[in-house]
Amino acid sequence: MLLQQVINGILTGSVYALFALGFNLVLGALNILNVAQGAIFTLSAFVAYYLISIYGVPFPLALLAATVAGGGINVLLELLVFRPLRSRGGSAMSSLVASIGASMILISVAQLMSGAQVERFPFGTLPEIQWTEFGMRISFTQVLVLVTTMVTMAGTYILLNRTRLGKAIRTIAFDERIARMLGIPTVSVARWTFFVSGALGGLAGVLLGIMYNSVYFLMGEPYVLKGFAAIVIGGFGSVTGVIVASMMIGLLEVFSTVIGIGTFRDVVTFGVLFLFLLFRPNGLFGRDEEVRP
Amino acid sequence: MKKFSAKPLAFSSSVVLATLIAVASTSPVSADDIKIGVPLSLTGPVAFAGTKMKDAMELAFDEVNSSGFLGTTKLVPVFADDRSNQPQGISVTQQLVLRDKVSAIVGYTASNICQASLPVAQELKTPTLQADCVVPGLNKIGNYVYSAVRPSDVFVEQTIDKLVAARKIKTAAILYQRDNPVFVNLQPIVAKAFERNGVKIVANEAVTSGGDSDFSAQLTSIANGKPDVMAILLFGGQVGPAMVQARQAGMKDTIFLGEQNFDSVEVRRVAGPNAEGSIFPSHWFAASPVPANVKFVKDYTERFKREPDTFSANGYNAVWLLAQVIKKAGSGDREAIRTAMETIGDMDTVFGTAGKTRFEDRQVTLTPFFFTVDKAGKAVPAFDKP
Repeated sequence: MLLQQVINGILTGSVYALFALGFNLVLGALNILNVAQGAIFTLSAFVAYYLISIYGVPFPLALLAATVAGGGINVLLELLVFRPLRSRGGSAMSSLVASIGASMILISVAQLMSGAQVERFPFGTLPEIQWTEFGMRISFTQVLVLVTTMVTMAGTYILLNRTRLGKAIRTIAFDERIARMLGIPTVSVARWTFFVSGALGGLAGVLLGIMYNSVYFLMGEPYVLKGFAAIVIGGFGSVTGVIVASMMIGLLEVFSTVIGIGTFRDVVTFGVLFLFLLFRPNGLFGRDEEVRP
Repeated sequence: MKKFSAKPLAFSSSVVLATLIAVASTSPVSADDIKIGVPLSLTGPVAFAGTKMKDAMELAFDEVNSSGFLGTTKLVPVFADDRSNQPQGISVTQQLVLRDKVSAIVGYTASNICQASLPVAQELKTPTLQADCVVPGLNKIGNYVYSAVRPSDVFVEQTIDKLVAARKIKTAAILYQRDNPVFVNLQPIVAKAFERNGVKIVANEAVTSGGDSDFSAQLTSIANGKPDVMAILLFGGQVGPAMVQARQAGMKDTIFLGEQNFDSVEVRRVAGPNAEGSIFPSHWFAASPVPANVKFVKDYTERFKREPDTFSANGYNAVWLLAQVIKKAGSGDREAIRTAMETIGDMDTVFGTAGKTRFEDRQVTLTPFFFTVDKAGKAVPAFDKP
């Protein structure tokens, strides 16, 4: 049972990680806490659900389309909400408030689309294969989710550290003014940052929906707080930190149940967050803030 | 009762109307419209139930008004969304009473909101018929507050007694939602009912939020105990995913036991074949031959292109109960309505097999049906009779 719970924890943590990576990208690069990421997570899951259940689109295509849709919705938010605020010199707080409003609108759209009912992907969307070894059960869906999240995490790491876009994002994160002086097209890079962030959130939403057989208009809400906790524990802006912290949260939640304190699993998670804020405010992999003259 | 609603020109309906008039008081009704407050959870985690209630309540209000059940008087519903949130529930109650000046309130979806809002309705001396909250104790709030449904605890206890008597049940587990008073209240009652029947509880796991859909950790622990039966005490939207995940966790033969919220097409659609064999009690039986129920199911299905479920039935039934109370009161005066609630006697209902109910101790009298889910995903009578 213990091994099974470790797998459960890693699966939960891997979805947290995708969500939190997207969250972290916009926060780290543009200093915007975009809580609408939860709504994007939800809407993308619905996009995949409708494509599969109504139009019979195969799962891989629906997953791709929903991921792109997540990125697209976030770009729309950037264009309609965040860009106008930033161009007027709006503060981080005004962006946060605007993202709360955007989130409420998007969640209402999801509720209207679904009539507030829980949906599930049609049976047989993915092969219903289950392997049983060493007392563990692992399904094809779980393997697919695990592989997809691992590949995406690696891809995100490479994108940020080995590509020109990634370098541009990191430069903007360091200082947007300097990035402009260096000739980096900050507007376009910001847009791509929003796209990648939304795509990561969207991908996480579809994977969660297929893994737990549930697509619901409020499914993204718990992930906003968990994603934020992962960023704080992992360290703002750190890809490795967010991944490690997300896995940690997934495992903490599962092992709270194993040791019989499952009722308090959120207390455990946010208790750890509180301890980090007190004793290691820069998180596991965060660095002390550099003071630039 | 023959029918709730009557189309004035239809002969059969006229007969029904005459029957209804004979049953209810013949007090004259006011020519003025009567405003009725209808607080429901239309957004937030309980919206899956509130939106269905609203559809059915609109249908019922339309039927009351178009049938001339209250003469020339029309009931004018004022819907308000409590957003599945207690403070908002209190706020909309105050708003309906103080700003909209409603004559009575019918509605509420979630038990925790009932617990917070009904004392406010009592304090503001507004007759209130709550339609869907099944937590015990609501009938003790005061003389303005009545319940159109009964607490679920006794029904679930009876289900356990019958299940253990009918099957070889030795072990049980409980998966419950810690965030809602109905389930927090039910969990020890269910545990005691199992123990009273000599059934060993092998696992007792909590889900911390109504928004959770990942129950893998809890179900892995529960599956380890190999329970013969697992009580699933979760929100309706969580029940289907929990059933699917439980089967995936290895509980292939475990019987799922629940409360009235299992009685939902949505639960069975989401769970698919995984729901087969589930057992639950309900005060409403879609296939009940009570004429009012037959009409309700037919009209609802035609209007909304989907089958009604318990939540729809609760909403529809509560509006019709209130309409009968107002008919007895003969006006939209709050005191007259409250007095009518106390004295009304037998009322027509879509629930039960006799189509009659009455208020006792400020809540309706009802006998539950017991259902199981068959291979086709239909709710059919469990045990030897419904």
